[in-house]
Amino acid sequence: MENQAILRFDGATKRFGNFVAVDHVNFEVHNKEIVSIIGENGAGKSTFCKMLTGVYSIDDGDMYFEGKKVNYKNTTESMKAGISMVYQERNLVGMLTGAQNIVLGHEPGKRFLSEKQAYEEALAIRDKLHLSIPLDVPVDELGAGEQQLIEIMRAFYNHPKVLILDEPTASLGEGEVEPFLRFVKEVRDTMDIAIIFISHKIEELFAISDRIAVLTDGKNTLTDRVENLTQIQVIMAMLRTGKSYGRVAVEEKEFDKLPVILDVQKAVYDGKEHDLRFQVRKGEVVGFYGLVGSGRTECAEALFGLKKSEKSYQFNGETITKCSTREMIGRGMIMTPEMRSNGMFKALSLTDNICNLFLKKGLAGAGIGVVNRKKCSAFADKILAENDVKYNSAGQAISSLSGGNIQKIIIGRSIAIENISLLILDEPTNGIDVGAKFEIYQKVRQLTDVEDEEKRIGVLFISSEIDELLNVCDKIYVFADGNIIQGFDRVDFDKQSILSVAVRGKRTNE
Amino acid sequence: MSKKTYIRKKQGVKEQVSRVFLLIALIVIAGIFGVISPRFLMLNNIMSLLATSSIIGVLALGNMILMSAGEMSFSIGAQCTVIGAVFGRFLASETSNNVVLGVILGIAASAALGLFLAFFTVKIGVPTFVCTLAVATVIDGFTQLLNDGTTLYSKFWPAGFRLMQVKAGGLVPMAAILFFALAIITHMVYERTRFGRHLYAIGSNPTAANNTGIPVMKMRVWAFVISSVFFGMAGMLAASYNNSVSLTMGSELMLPAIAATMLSATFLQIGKYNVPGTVLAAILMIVIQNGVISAGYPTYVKDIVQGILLTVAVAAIAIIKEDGLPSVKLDS
Repeated sequence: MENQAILRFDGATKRFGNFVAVDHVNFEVHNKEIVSIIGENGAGKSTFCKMLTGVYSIDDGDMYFEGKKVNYKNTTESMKAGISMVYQERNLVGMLTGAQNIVLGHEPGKRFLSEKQAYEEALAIRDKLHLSIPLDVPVDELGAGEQQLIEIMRAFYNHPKVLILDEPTASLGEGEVEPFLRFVKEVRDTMDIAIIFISHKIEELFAISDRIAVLTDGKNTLTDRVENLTQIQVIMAMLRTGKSYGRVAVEEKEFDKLPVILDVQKAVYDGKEHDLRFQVRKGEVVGFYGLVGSGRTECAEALFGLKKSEKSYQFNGETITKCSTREMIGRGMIMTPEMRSNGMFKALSLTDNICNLFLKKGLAGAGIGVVNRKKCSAFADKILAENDVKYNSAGQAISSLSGGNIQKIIIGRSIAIENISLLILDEPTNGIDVGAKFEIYQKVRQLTDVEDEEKRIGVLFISSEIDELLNVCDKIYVFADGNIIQGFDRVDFDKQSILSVAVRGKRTNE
Repeated sequence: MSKKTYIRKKQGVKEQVSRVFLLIALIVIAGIFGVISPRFLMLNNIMSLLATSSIIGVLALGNMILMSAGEMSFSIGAQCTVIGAVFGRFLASETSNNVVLGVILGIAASAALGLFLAFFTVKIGVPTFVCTLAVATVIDGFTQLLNDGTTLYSKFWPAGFRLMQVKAGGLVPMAAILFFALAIITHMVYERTRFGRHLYAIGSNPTAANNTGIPVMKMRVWAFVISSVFFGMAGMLAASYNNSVSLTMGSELMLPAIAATMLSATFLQIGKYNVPGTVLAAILMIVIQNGVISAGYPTYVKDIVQGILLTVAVAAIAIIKEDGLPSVKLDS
């Protein structure tokens, strides 16, 4: 690119407390160019874009737009300058028509709105983009792909010089992705515009980009023109350096000989059939890896009865087609939620948080169930001690503890279920410090490797961090687009192939 | 992409019927009462129905403004009464008999109340539900103070005080004219102005509103102020029409008014609070009340019929609109 960069960032840095989300990133994009940003979950892609549009303030570094140094304080300022962003989440007002949504916030007309002018202006954008979506019906009545295009048309309403597309293909169906990519390229070729394309699907990026920038842990690890790159190079750059957690001890077992706890083939939910061939055996830690939106949590929720689904799977030899969470807990399966806040009663004490799960068994009387406070408190003390929770008094509110300690309580009470045989952990180490993470890995291994083989259980460990899965799991299944694509045994664990399956959505060539 | 045809979601008979459910209900119910007591459908009674419904109607319009912006208030009755009392108290002395000044004072006071509520909810961040409930109690106390703990009436009230009882052309009550004028203005603001569009947008999808550069906080403050002015106007209207200010004047009307707003979301544009629906629903509420009384039934029948109607209507919305309404989201 011989011309000057339309947008340039020198040493962009954003901190949240001690955490550096974006770390001295240099970035530029030129007119008529598509630059893609790729990175794992939490690599800093969205934060970076929010710095460009003024949603987040810039802690360090300089941003230049058309050669001038700028510092936008909000989206209104950046939009005015010519930076438009299409957000990942739907941002339309359902009852308004396409045209009304496109002009939202900047409606034409002096005193009164001019619907006619709004419609004509929207129509002009539609023609310019060679689209044919109706603009006079409420957007509620349109499909996901059409809504996405309405949002893009909206981005064009301000005559943007830079267009940011945040995971634009995430909500599109299979047949919609390719025409959409063609459309984006066409826009680049026919209009004066620079496009920043964010995605974690690597094949899409190679199909569409002029240049690719990789973000890993907030750092820009690779930027180059697409013709100089291979998919493997990009995947290698995406790999995290691996924070040193310390390895947990893993007992080797012959899994083929162990009893199967959970055996799943497929299930239908969210309007699609999902290929979910996997098993969990007694004493096994099975990991689910995948990028955001790959369907790991949804799968577990369907099995646990949190999500409506058509399914038929084996759990401890029993065929389960319909279930509620209450029934599954009764059968010995429990899931700890991704959001820790959904696993606790914030204002209640540690004792209450632990005992609420067990009030129907012994801790409360029959009938309406008068709570036996003495038993409760003894039981809670036992759980707290067994799980090394650090606390002042069992009566303190659970929200006053650190994330790691809360997680220990949630896991601790879950495994105290009498006939527990399968524990599903959804992102159990999210947002807790390295030391506490390690304790959770140890706890998980202890559940599956305990000496008394009768007491061993199966664990399903869902995580976005490959490193922790490589550390604790006996087997890892990789998700993409809602399906299990491939499973890896511990002997075959290889960071690069696992990540490559996740971003390509295809099996590695054996 | 250009060749792709789009699929419009099918609109079943169920949805089409429920679009005009409110109108059908009004016609059917009015018809039933007309059969029971023929006097019910006489022109004079219809005019008096419209006049009575104007008080609920103006309250409901104000409430619609608030609810469409995503807020829900439990102080609308209290605000209505206290402004009626301010208005009545101001004109009750021999020396102050300027009705225009009284109206200006009432509007200023209600706008101030709206700002006060906005300060606590928008600025400080108290949930509107809690804040308005608490403030309603405070306001009720002030009403008692202004009313000396009883129904307010003054022989010094000038003739202009009773303007709302006057029938234009000997037929149409001023109260009804004011109601329809306010309804038309509100409708125009919602359908034709940027301001109305943005009010609706912040209630419907605040994130989208923010991302498109709509000043969400500022719009919420406006929603509070304008709705409070409507509640105040309803209070003054009621004081003028009833020629008195009772302590429970507004609180009796609060639930029917909220019901009318919610019912509006079942009319024509399902899932969107709208003015024609609000007007229709306010009239329906009064038709039920008046019809029950003129047919000689005890008043609790009114409550039962109104309640059933509201339940059916909101259940219909819940079935048809999966994501609920602004300010009553079914899925948080």
